[in-house]
Amino acid sequence: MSNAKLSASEIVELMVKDRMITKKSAEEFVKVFFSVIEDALKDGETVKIKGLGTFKSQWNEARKSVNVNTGEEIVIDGYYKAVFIPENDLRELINEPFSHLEPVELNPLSDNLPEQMQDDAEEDEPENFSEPLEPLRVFGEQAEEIKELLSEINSFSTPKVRSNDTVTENESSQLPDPDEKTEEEITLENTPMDKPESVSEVAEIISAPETLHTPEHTGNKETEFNFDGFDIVREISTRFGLPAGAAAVALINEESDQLPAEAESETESNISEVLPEEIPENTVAAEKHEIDDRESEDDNNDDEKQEKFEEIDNEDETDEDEADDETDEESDEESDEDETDEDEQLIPEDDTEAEDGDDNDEDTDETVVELPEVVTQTDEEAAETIEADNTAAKEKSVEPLVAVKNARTVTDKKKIVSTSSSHKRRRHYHVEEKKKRPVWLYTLLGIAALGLVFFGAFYFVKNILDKQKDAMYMEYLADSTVRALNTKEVLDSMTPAGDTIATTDTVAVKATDESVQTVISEAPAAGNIFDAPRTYTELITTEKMVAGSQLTKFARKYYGHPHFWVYIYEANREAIKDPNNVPLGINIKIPKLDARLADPASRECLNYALKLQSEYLK
Amino acid sequence: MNNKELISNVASKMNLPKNEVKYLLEAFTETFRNQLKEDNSIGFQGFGSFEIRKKEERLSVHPLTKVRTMIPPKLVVSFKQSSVLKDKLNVKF
Repeated sequence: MSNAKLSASEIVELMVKDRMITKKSAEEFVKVFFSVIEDALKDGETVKIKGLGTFKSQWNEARKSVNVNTGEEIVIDGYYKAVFIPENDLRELINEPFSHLEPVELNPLSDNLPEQMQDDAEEDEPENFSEPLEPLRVFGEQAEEIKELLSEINSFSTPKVRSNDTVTENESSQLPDPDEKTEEEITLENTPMDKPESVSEVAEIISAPETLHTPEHTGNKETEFNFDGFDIVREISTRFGLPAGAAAVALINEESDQLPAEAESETESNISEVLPEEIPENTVAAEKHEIDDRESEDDNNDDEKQEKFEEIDNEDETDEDEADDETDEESDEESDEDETDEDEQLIPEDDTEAEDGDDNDEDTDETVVELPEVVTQTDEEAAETIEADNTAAKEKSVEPLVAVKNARTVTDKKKIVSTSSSHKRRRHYHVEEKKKRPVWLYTLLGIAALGLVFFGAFYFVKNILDKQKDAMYMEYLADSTVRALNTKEVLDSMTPAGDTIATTDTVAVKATDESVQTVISEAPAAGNIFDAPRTYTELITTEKMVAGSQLTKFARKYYGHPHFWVYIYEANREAIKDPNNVPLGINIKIPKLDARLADPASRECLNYALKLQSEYLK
Repeated sequence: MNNKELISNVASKMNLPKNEVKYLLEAFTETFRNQLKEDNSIGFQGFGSFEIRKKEERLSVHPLTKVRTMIPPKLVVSFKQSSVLKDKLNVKF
């Protein structure tokens, strides 16, 4: 039987069942019962029924609403509503299934939650305050990190420099070994091996011309080096017809992680072979005028290069094994050496490169000067070309070096100038670190820059918002007479021209006048209604006082609010002596009231009515 | 209007003795309660309908002490007036 919908007749049947009641009387009873309740409700009475509850009619105030379809504002009139308040007994009976349940205070949570909420509230504010400071703080942290990095780099640079000396020492000790080769061969070997460094130095010099004020490099030499490096690149690239720098870049990216050890061994083996005889040559070559003389030689060398590359490859491979042993020994010693020899080495080496490249000087001078980026690209080409000559493994190993060196040029330009090419060669056991550090530095610098940008943007936006707020405030003011005065002042301060001031003045004055007028026109009107003696000439109707009748009910019925009963009382002063005790049977005049006086929606009217009520009920 | 007044009112209208009306009323309230208890909804034409509604459990937070209380679900009687009754109550004068 649960969830069934029962009608009155079904209730009647159930009522009659098992009882000494006729169905007819039961039906009639139900009918009369509800009609009685209805009548009582109509009269504003409450009906209390034992075992059930209370019926009463409740006044629902008129309210504004919006038509969902049209968006139009509509007023829902106030109305009476029959409400049923079940007796406690009935309530408990109905709620029996859940009666065992009781409200539970959530203690563990209730202890924490308020605090949390408070904390949240507290946290919110400081956060808001710290928000503008946040970028500053982050920036400061980044700055510190960068400082640390720089100091690290400095500390690293000194051991590197020292390593050169060990190199030279080792080289000098090993000098006699690879003497089989002719000078030409050596120069050839130098060109492939030195090019990456020389090229990278060229890139350094080009990318950071301001920083190149070290004693070793006079301005002329630097420029010459540039040309030389570029020439070498050009030369080799043209000779071997190798692809452009893009491929080299890709290769570097891919292979930079691979084969650092091989790179080490390879370069060192080359050094051991090359340097001994190279140095004397270089010292000669360091003087520029001699370079020109050697051009013819270089041409010959270049021609021979191709022929001898195959030989070199073979030699390099064999040398690798030796080199591995050397590196192990050297790496320990390197850090203890002095820097003095390095500079000496640097110049000669560079000059040897210069020799090689001088062939194409006339063609490439301008391009080099004008297009530093081209040079850096060609660096990579050069690296590639060099590597193309070597075995595949060696190719890969050289590229990371070049890449690292190029990258380094940007980050620590000062050191680059002071470091020699040979020392760079020796440095490759640091390859991993160095390779990573620039990237790391770049990212940090990028973050710092971003932070700055956001910081700037934040304040920019904030300024704009402030301005907008000001503008909005001004607009708001514009709607009132106050605004008129304000704008007048503002305009006074802003516009020096007298005419505009005058016009704004007049506008402002007009605006104020109008508003004052409206206020005045309203105020006396309202005051008149409340203050003027009320005369109740027109009547809506008359009501007869019966049992249960109340003035407030009449007021509610005719004026929309019970508070306005005072006016009915005023209209019936003669008949009613005590408003609390209105005699039954008399006819009550219901006067017609000014809509402004008895407006249930107006707080003013209600307050005035209440004031009157408190007077009359003294 | 209390129970007594109601009975006398109904009795005068039905021309029945009060004790009989009282008996009828008791019978009515008893069936009414029983039916409601069985979760039946009862509709009286022209007056309104009674039904049982379940109020779901809810979490209430005391605005001052912030004490959170779990209010258990409960069943309540709800009465909805019929539109006929509403019109009768709001007759325009």
